[in-house]
Amino acid sequence: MDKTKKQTSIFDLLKPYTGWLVLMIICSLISNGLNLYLPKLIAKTIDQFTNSAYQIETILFELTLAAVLIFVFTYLQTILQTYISELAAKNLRNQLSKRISRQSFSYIENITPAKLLTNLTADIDSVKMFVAQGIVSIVSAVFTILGASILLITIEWKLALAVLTVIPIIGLTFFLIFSRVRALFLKSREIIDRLNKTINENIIGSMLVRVLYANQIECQKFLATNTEAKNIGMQILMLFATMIPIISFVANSSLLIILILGGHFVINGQMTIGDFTAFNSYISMLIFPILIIGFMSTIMAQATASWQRITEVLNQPEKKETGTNKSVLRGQVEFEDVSMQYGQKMALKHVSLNFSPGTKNAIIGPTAAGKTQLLYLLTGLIEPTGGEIKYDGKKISEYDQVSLHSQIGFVFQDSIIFNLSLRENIAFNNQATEEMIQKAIITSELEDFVNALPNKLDSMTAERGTSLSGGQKQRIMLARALAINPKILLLDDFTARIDVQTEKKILQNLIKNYPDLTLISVTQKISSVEDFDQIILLMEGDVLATGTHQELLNRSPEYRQIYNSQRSTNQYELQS
Amino acid sequence: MNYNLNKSNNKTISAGSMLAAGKKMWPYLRTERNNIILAAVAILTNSGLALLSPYLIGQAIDKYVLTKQFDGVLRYGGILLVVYLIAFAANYAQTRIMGGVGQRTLFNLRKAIFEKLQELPQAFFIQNKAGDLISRINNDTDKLNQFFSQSLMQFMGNFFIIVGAGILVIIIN
Repeated sequence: MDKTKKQTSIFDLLKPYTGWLVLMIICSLISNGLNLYLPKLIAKTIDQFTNSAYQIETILFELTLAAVLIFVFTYLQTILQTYISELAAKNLRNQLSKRISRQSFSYIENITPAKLLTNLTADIDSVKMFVAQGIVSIVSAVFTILGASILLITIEWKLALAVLTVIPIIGLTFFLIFSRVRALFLKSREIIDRLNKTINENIIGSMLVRVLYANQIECQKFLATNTEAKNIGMQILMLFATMIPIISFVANSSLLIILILGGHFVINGQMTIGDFTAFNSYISMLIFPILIIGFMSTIMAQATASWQRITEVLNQPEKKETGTNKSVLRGQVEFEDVSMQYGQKMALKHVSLNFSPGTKNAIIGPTAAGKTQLLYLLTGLIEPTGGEIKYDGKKISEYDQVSLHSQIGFVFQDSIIFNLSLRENIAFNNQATEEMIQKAIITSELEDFVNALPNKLDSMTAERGTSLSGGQKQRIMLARALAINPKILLLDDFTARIDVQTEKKILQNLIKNYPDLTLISVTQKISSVEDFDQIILLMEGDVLATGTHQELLNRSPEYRQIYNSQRSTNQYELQS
Repeated sequence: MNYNLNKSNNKTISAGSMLAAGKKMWPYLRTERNNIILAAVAILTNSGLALLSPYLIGQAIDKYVLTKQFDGVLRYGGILLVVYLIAFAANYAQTRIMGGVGQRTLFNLRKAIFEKLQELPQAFFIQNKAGDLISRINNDTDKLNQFFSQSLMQFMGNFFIIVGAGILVIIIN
């Protein structure tokens, strides 16, 4: 596909299927040509009949042959058009989903999943419809119009020219209407995107909507978009309601022209009555394909709008190539003067940190300290505004991203559980062996949970893990991160939903089962990380202090304050 | 309680269930009854005129072209022009009214589904996939709209034409 061109025409989509399409068009042309030939055959029969040179065998044979051939080629053409359209739709869907999964995270956030969803369903459907019905109909209609026009001209060119003036009038009507309809179709798709979004939010956030009693507001929001969709539908309808009668009226007036002008010619003796009837039968042949083109143009306008939306996604440049270094990590991580800006606010201010291989590190700080940003930066999915992040002394950009991600385990705050079996959810990366999975499950303290399930690891989990508790989801996420046997493990507030005992056990398991692992854990609870090798106190994007628990207690008044406040609440909890 | 739409609704679609589905659609169409009747009248007119015009042309040829009376041809031409103009109006009314019915029904259906969605218990959302629900509300309702604005109208129109043409053919010979 030509990437330099901004807008690709819908016919670009058809390029890969040229061979099949040619075959299909040949089939339809043959059956159409035979259809044009039939009146001639019948005319010949009538002539022979009146001249009493009537040979029933040859006539019968020719008619049967024509009928059989028309049947065979129409049949072939139907099969081909279904095959091509399904094939094209399948390939497009594949291309789209591949492209979406390779796009950068921020792109998906920007374009909204709702739009991508419409792309994958409604847009592809209308393109498919065009391929299935549009192409053949338009080609055979144009062919029939051309053929019939030529035949008309050979019969009586003056009358033919008068009649054929209707074609440019119809063409102009199409042109005028469709230039408006296309913009409306695009707009209507955008509204459908928004409808999708509202529905999407209400389904995914169904619990929240109920708890907050936001039903009324959501209904009103939906009503507004729904009304807009209706209005635009009405606008499109108005255009078509104007176009269709105009076209059929113009087509009808060609009959009128024939009657009056042709009648005049016949009365003058310029034309025989036989030619006059032939003219009438060919003109009715001409009108039908014109109506077909009118109908197909709706499909084509819709498909063009959809195709434009699809190519917008397909032609979006992919995120830039990552480095090529695929070496195995030792587990050393370094921040060198890293700054991160979100709008006006600095999330991280000139942060320099060093994590040695195999150490256990914690990042502690109040909310909005920039802790999560720090972890996101380590994934390489977002880039720092300034400074460098290094693994084993080499810049993150030098590493091949796939290789890097296969050595780093992430456990984010949001647990993404897919509607798959538990095993597939954990062994999400297919490099994981059975042994690695087992080790990950034992370490995550999921063993009892798994064994209690009816189908063990092969039990299905509900979409978004709605059937699981927060702690279970978090532990599944941990098991997923561990199943790839990572060199570095990043935990984002992992302890928030897990009780203290389980958390302690998991940490012990981690040290025992993954001794070489570099652990970087973002947390708010000091108690669970007291014996870590390094604790970093982060506040409003600044590193206030680094060191072991004891060192920080001695050195940092802020740390002492947090520690004391947490201890007192712990005691308070125990007392109550 | 089973809320899974894909498990409770996996009956195969037969002609009977299609009819039942049609009956269920009726509440959404009831308010549109007058419009549907109007559209049906427009469709009937349109189909009737579509049948009338070839007959008129045939008459004109037989009576006047063959007897070489051009004023008669012109008179029939005038009648045809009137017929085509009426057909123009009927065609416009038909597309406009039926399309409007489709759009409004689509609007009401979407609204009804969305409101229902707000009333359904949480269990419903656990048992159904979000994508499936979204597709039902958007695409499936759109298919219904297509049915109203295009298919139903064409079906009715073509049905009248076929029946009418059959009758005319029998009358003529």
